[in-house]
Amino acid sequence: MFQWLKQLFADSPVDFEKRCRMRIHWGVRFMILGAAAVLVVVLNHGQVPVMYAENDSGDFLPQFYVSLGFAMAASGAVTVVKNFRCLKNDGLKKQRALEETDERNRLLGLRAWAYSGYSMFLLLYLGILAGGFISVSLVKILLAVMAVYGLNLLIFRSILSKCM
Amino acid sequence: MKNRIQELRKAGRIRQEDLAEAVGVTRQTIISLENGRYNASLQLAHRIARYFDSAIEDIFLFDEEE
Repeated sequence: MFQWLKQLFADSPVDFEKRCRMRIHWGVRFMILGAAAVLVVVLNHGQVPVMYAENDSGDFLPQFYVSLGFAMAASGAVTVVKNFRCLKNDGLKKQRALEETDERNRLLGLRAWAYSGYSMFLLLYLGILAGGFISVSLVKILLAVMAVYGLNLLIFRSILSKCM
Repeated sequence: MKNRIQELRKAGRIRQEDLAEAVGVTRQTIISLENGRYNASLQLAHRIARYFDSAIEDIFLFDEEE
């Protein structure tokens, strides 16, 4: 059931062309989502409907969604162009495939994720300790993030133990 | 784990790029293997051994104390 997770393992074979095609699809989705974020702000005359409005909601949120929308659309477009070029150019495809399927590079990527995860957990813990001196809401938010993070860790550990 | 990749490669006058391409990794991986900074997976060790027409244990020297 969770065999798809094995694709992330450093020793699993990679179908590079399939990966490029998948990235093109995701790039298009990102472009659509980005355009939708901008459209929501434009259709609401520069405003974002907010359930619990705060002092700076009116200024911050429209700018945030417009910037996020453009950034998403641009990154989606870059992804599409990059991967399309890669599929069309055999030399480039071979070079990129080698770089992406190289086992050391894949292991580096996985370890970078793991170490950033450990450090994020530590930073959250420090944030919670320091947050008590700033605001109770901040502590609650950080605790919630840490709980979700811990839960994710347990879920993936349990799933992965069944895969390998 | 120590290995004899550099020794065998130099003996055969093989460039790092050529070995890397033949075994399906980047040149940087070959450099890391030769410097002992990275240990090859079993699959890669097998491909390297096959490239040099040797057994894995003749190229990768397993130290029991490690």
